Amino acid sequence: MSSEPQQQRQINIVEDENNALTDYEAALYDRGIRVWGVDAQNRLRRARVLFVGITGLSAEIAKNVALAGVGNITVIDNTIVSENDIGLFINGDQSIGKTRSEAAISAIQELNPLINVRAESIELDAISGEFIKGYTLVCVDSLDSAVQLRINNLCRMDGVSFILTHCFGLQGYFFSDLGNTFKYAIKKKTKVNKNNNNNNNNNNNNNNEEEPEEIEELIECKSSFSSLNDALSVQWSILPNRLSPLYYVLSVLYQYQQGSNKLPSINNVEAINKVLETCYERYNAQTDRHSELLKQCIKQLTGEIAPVCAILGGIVGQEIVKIISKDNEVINNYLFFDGTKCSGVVEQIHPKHNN
Amino acid sequence: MTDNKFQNIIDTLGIDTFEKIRSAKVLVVGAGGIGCELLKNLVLSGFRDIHIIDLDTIDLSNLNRQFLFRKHHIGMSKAKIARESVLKYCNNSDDIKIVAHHADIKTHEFGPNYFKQFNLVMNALDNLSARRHVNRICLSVDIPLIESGTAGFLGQVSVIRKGVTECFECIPKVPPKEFAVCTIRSNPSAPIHCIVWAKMLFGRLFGLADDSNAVTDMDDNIVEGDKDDTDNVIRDELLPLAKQKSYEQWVFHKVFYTDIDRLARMTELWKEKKPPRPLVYDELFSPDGQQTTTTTTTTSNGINSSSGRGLKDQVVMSFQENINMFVESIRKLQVQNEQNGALTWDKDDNLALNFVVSASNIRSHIFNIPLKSKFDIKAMAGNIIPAIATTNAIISGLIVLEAFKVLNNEFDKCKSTYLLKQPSGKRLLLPIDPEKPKSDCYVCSQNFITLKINTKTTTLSQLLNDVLKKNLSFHDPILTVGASLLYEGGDEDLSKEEIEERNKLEQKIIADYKMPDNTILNVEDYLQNFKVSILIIHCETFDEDGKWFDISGKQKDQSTNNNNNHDSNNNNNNNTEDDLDDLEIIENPVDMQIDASSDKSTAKRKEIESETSDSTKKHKLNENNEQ
Ligand SMILES: [Zn+2]
Repeated sequence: MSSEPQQQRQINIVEDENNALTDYEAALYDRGIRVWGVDAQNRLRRARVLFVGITGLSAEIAKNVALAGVGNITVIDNTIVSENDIGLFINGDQSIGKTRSEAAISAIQELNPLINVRAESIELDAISGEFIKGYTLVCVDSLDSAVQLRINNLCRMDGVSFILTHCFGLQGYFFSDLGNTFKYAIKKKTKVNKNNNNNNNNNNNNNNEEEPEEIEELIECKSSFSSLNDALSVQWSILPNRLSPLYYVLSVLYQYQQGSNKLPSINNVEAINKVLETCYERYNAQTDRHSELLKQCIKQLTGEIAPVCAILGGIVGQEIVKIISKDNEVINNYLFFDGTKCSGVVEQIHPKHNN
Repeated sequence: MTDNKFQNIIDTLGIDTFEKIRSAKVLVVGAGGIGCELLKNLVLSGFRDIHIIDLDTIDLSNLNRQFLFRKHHIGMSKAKIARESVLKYCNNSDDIKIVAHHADIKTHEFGPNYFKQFNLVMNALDNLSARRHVNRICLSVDIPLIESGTAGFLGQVSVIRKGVTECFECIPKVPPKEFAVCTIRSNPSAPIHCIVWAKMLFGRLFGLADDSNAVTDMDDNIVEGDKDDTDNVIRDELLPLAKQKSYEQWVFHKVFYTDIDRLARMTELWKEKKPPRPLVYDELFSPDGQQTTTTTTTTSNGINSSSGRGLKDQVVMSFQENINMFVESIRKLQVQNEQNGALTWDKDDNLALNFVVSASNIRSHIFNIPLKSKFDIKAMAGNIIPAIATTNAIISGLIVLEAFKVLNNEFDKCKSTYLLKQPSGKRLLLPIDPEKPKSDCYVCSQNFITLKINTKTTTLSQLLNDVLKKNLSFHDPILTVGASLLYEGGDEDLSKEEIEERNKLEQKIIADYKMPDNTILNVEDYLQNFKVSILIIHCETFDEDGKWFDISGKQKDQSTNNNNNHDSNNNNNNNTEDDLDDLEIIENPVDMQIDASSDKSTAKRKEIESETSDSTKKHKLNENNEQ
């Protein structure tokens, strides 16, 4: 479950050698390349990322991955933009009447003309394995747990990375499922003193200001993830201490939908609260500190505010870059942001395995 | 669903806060990476009276993160384009006013009176001196300031409120590493030494005349002995000949033959390492200008760091390629110099960069130092701390969350928040309570600065430029001792004679000009609305190489000074304020001295320190960063 680094000399990553970055791309992505390297930049360029549900949050994420140089971005959201919509991809009065995905693609394309941006008009319940297959990563912002689960399962089957994210007012989170075995390599720099293996050289020694040579070593790591269903069905009694109350809220919203087949809404407050009660009973939990946050989140199911979208959108955007470039520690498998405290906490929530 | 596009803000923060947002007048200083994101967040949160200032223009390498800018905006004002682009997110009916200034914040137009009109100031700046400047003005007019900075994956936001929280200058920032003049001129041992030298050479050859630029004296051909001792002096007679041939041959011969020959003769320098070897131009190029193929020691002890894959600029060029590039760039730069006058070095000017790449690599070759790629040299010469979109997005969002609290006067709820690269413990975003103002801070409390300096050798000009302006970030200092006025800058109303008089004054040794040991010097800056008393202590030896003065915040307790030399700022000559182009280049990130190469351990350190509430925590960070 946790990351297990394994020493290994070299890791083989299939590279598309004849498709190097152009000089213009090298200049445009200069700062990114200095942070994550050319290989990662090439992987970003080849990546295909699908956004399901265009919200203020996913618009921020899409902006960030477009700027980073993710080569192919597809969006799905057939909701019509209204006068009261606000956000990154809402281009003033011009966007009113378009679908969200139509409004989004022109805005994303404008951010980075070098990448391919497409809208798909497919209905969410028509998304198939065939459709998902071609993507590197799917990022979902939807409250509908049936949609969440289905896309998560399709992603699992085809080895596509899955991210689910949402914000409620000052609260927000993301969940990631990168499959049973997600492999990545981290670079470890070790300093080697040149003087040690200085056999026949008469120069370059005895200077204390001399920079030791740096050798980069790749260490292959694996990380194993749980499905969304598994992560949301963990017994409350085995959850980590001091876990963000937002997890309990998500768990309740999920279980409510499993039982009722209804989307959570402000009209179902009573029924949702009942689920919370049941959970307390079932899991033998005595606290009631979740009910206040639950009430608040139900009130703000679609209550995004710009600064929280920016913060969570930045975190998720960065995570997507790390997942695609496979050369950094990735978050496994939840991050909870609490804007009342400005805290961002990472948690691992997995069912106990039998083995 | 709602009849108000800001309904979510109202639901989340309450109508009272929302009203404050609607009526607030705010200033954003900087329209780069953080500034663009911040402006967008403010507009989408309902702010409608915003001023934004930035001096900079848009560059291609900004477009990967400064998302309000497009390719066709390159070269235009960041502030103006940011304003124009962000207005697209608004409806016609939105009653929003954004004022953009394409201007330097450090001018009289933006003094204390300008700042007074705002409820809140937000810094989205990259350079230390502007951040100090804004800090001082905000303190002086008692306007809350939100400070921020990013570097790669790391970032920080904090609120500065006079008398309530630590100010930007409560903890002295460690200046960027400086190198002793002798290391640069005579005894380089690492690529960076040669790069600094190459930039100085650029200034010497193509820049404005600058007496402090001691890189080389083009007409001096003495290779051994002293010019006053005419009998024993040895001269390089080839230099005048080279000068007659061509400009590039003259320069080449001077810096890679004459100067090297002189150094090679200083045998005591080369007891423990190989002496440098002068290069002869004609041996590298045959007389008809064709290059010869004799050089076998390409990339000398060069470690070819190119993996064969990667960018063209990441490949280390051969020695011969460097030679060719050097000669070619000198030729072209000389033409530019003749046409346009003095040039200033800019890492984004390819020709200027080529000059520094080739000059530094040739010098490295001479001194048996590994050569570097253009990609790496650009970062080292340009002080690039790479900035990425996601960090800016996160930090700008955090600024707005703090802004909500500031508008509500909830300073007790404000946090200093750190963004880490990897979760530390479980935390990726680490909020900590802001520190109280430091009682020994010379900016936000009434305290002395102690300046240790050699009063018998330092000139008034050095005191003004290197100590007061560069190190202490005064803009236009006025010096008084007791009741007598010693110095006043500005040249608006001065006659030519008066200016000459003042220039003469600036060359005076300070001990001879009413500033001997144990003087209390008062320095005032009207623009910053800032005044400080400096206790001058005469001192002739300093513990660090290349250091010639020492500044500490408190003088009462001498023993603490000795133990904490992080309290002292050391700064000698060149390139502190060298490259301010990227918004996110942080010479000295606020409080957090970011060590971009080992963020994991930095994160760990922060983790530990956040749990120790004593005031020593940031000092530890600083120390760790000096390596
Ligand atoms: Zn202070």
